[in-house]
Amino acid sequence: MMEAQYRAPGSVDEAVALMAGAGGKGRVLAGGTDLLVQMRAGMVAPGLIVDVKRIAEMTAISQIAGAWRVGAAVTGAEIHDHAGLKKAWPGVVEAINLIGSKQVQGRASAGGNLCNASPAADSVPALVAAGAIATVQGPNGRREVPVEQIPAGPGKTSLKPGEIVVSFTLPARPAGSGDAYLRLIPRTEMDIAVVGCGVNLTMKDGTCTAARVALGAVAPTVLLVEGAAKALVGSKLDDKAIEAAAAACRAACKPIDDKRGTIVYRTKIAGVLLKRAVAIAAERARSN
Amino acid sequence: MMLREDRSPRRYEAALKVRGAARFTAEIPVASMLHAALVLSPLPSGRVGRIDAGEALALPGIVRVLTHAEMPRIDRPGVLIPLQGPDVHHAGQPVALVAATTPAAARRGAASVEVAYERRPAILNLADGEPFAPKTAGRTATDSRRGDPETALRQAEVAIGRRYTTATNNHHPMEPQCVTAQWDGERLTVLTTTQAVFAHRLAIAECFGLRPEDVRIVSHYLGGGFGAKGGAWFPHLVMAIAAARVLGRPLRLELTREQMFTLTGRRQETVQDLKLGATKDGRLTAIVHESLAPTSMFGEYADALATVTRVLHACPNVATRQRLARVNAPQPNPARAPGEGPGSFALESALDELAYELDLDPLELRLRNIAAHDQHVDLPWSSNGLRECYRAGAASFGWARRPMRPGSLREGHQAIGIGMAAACYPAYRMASEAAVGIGADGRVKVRCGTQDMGSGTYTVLAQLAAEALGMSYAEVDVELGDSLLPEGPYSGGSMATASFTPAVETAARDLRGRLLALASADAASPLAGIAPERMSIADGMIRSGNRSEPVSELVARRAPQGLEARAGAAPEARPDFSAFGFGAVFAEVRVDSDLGEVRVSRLTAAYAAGRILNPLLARSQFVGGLIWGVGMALHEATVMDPHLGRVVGTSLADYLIPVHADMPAFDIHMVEEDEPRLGSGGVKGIGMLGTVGTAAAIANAVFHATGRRVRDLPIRVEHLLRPD
Repeated sequence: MMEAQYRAPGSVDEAVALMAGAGGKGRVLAGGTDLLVQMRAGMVAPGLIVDVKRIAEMTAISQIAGAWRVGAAVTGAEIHDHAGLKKAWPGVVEAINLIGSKQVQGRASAGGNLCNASPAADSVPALVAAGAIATVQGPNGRREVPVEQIPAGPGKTSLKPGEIVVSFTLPARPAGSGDAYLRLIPRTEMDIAVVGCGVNLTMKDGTCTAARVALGAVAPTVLLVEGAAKALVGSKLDDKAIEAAAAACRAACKPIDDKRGTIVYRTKIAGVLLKRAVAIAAERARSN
Repeated sequence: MMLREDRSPRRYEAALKVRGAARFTAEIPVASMLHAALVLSPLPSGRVGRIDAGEALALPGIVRVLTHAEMPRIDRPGVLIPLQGPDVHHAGQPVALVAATTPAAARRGAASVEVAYERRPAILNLADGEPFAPKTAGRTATDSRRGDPETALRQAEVAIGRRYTTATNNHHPMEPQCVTAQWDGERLTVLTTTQAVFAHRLAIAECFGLRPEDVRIVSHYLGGGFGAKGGAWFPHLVMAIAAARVLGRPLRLELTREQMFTLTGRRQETVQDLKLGATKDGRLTAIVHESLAPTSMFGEYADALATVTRVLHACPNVATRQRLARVNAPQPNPARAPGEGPGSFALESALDELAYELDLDPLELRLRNIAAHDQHVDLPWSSNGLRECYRAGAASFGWARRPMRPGSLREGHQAIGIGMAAACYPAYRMASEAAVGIGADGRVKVRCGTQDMGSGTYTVLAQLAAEALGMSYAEVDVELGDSLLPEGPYSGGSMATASFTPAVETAARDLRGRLLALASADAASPLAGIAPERMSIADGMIRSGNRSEPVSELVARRAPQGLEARAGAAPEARPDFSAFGFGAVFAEVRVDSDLGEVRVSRLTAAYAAGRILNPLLARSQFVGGLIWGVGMALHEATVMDPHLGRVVGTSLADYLIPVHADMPAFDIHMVEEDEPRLGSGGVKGIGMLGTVGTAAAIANAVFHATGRRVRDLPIRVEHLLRPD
């Protein structure tokens, strides 16, 4: 065990410089609901902790030309209370609000949830279904990365040394759009998803014109299930189309057996959650 | 039952706890104390070789690293006091203790100690152990037999035989175990989280060759215990005290949540075979209940799995048999409703299965088998309120509207099921002393060296004294949790309240008599010359006819130093009756047909548990017991790696307990019982009863919802998965 240095810079540039200077020993601290637990458990021992909660850009929610930009360190509680974001992206907001308990919501952020890179992270399937783009800044400047490209495996991301996820951009919504996120856990709240499913739909005159489907906890990373989206697009969300989408979800699953759920169970449930999430997203799309 | 305000006053220590003024063990600093952290064995079986503490000792704040080589020898058979030798019997066993000036330094030091091990073969699974008969099962005989159950089974008109299993559970009180040990020559003060101030004083004195009166144990507030702060905590308590002696400085050891999975006992897993025989009209003719459970390599403990089987239902032919097998795992210990919880899951599930074999309503089956007396010991009941529990619970729950056929009730995705089970728990007691005094300021003081696990002991001690004296509850102060006080009972086996109640009431009545005699004999009192039996005390006033005097004025004048009465009470050596609390639990569950998700939506329970001192606290105790039943049924399992012998997932994120959102609507009924024969003042004990039968009621409801009989706890979603 070693002493960790703590810094709380006021700008992304400073934070990136600190991370780049830490030689791989730096860790970003947002809410700390994963990092501090892992440190106490002896799983990680960072040499430098860079607290990003004092960086304005990372803790703000703003709307630009219909798109929403959400700072990576914005807490679940702030997102919960944001009426505009909730109206546009109820599935994303619900997914973020499922992380931990009320107390954890006061700290935890979607950026932390993404960068912790758990295959079961609740916010990630919803963000992937939403088509969220992450703004990433590193020593070589900024780049825009689709959220699904950030996780690289359990506990691993594709971020390069010194890179920080600054914010997410949720695209402007066409009329008739709706999203939803559902997960299964063994008890009613405060647990890690056994399966999670995010669905984002756009409907026009009763026909699905665009769809994105993402699954969590059924593979080493969150999956964007294009086969499921294909089955839905062009359909009137009839039973046949939805069953085909559910079959695509089951086929995409590459889960593990563990004490939270078996392979057979997770695979079956992926299809069930898809059907239920589509129903909720479609209902929301109709009323938007 | 109505909650009468005067019988359910505000919790005695509520304001202290809300303000944070109630100081728990780990919040009490002791001057110049050191902090301990433990180095734990990763192996389930082996021998400690070289221990290299060089790196740890070089770290700032580290004072000393203690291993078995430096610790004094303590002779205590049957328990594994750590750091007494090089042998490792389970993964997680402490092999070294690091003492440092801060907790963080101690933890850092512990992480830097290098230990070499010689690995030895281990038995990691119950099935691999060699079964043997333990000396006892809890407080009961290991095996029992009445009549000829084998023949009765062969001749039964209907017979079933089923295997049920339950998982290892951990207690996990919110407050981790903690001890601060302070030596002063041959005198010892121990601040610790204990359910047994006096039992621990005696056992610690024996371990260190001290006189009991030279050992002081203090435990003012507890954040739960459930069995994990009694004998389960003792070995590590002793280890820390021994380490403090070697160090020559006060030492605090506070366990981590992770260590609470391995160092403070566990509810043992069980494999139970239940055979039932019955007539076609549903009279039980035979019960055979055989079980196997693990114990550790060094200790012997068996939950009393068959207690309920032996007495709950009438049956002439009953055999019960318990076996243990040794595994390289932590020592099991009592956990809330120790054997009665898992044992009743098997029995009451089997009753439900029998009801379906007979096509008989499960409640009707039980009503046909109410035991007129305790057939196990062949004694009359002190009282048996089971029939009234069935009636009150069923009526409130709406049992009569339940269709018999499984899978009959639905709502959207959800299959709805209704199930029930019966419960009983022995009314235990032990010896207790108590003192009740009054000062010149008119304040009453109750002193009793028992402890409050958070269940309301402070409150009921104050209530008992106030009521017996005729003073108001607000005028009573309580001292407990200290071995300097009169000897109070252990908090376990649902026996603390039944044990101290007669002592407190006798002392209070004695004090009352002395106050009245004083008034009668005191020429300065308005009550002078009146016979004590013609006086009464109410609201702090002694009255007779139109004459009265405040108790405080009498005491100030006649006994300015105050008055105190002390009394003791002990259980009957050989009572001519059998005393149990009884109950009936009714559960409604909702099972998502596509997901297999089970949620308990309603729990109605009716209990006949003797005299209820405080209906509000009693309700909380029953609800707490029921929640343990929900946990046992649906969530809780300490998973052991079958190859490494370690606990898988040692946090409350991995060990699932029910959370608030899992709570059903609770509907609790308390059947009033008159218990003049019980020397406990009519108290039977309630802490365990709520956990008995509850898991079976839930499993039976799951069967009713889905048609699937789950015989293995906890019930998992996979158990209920339907093939596509």
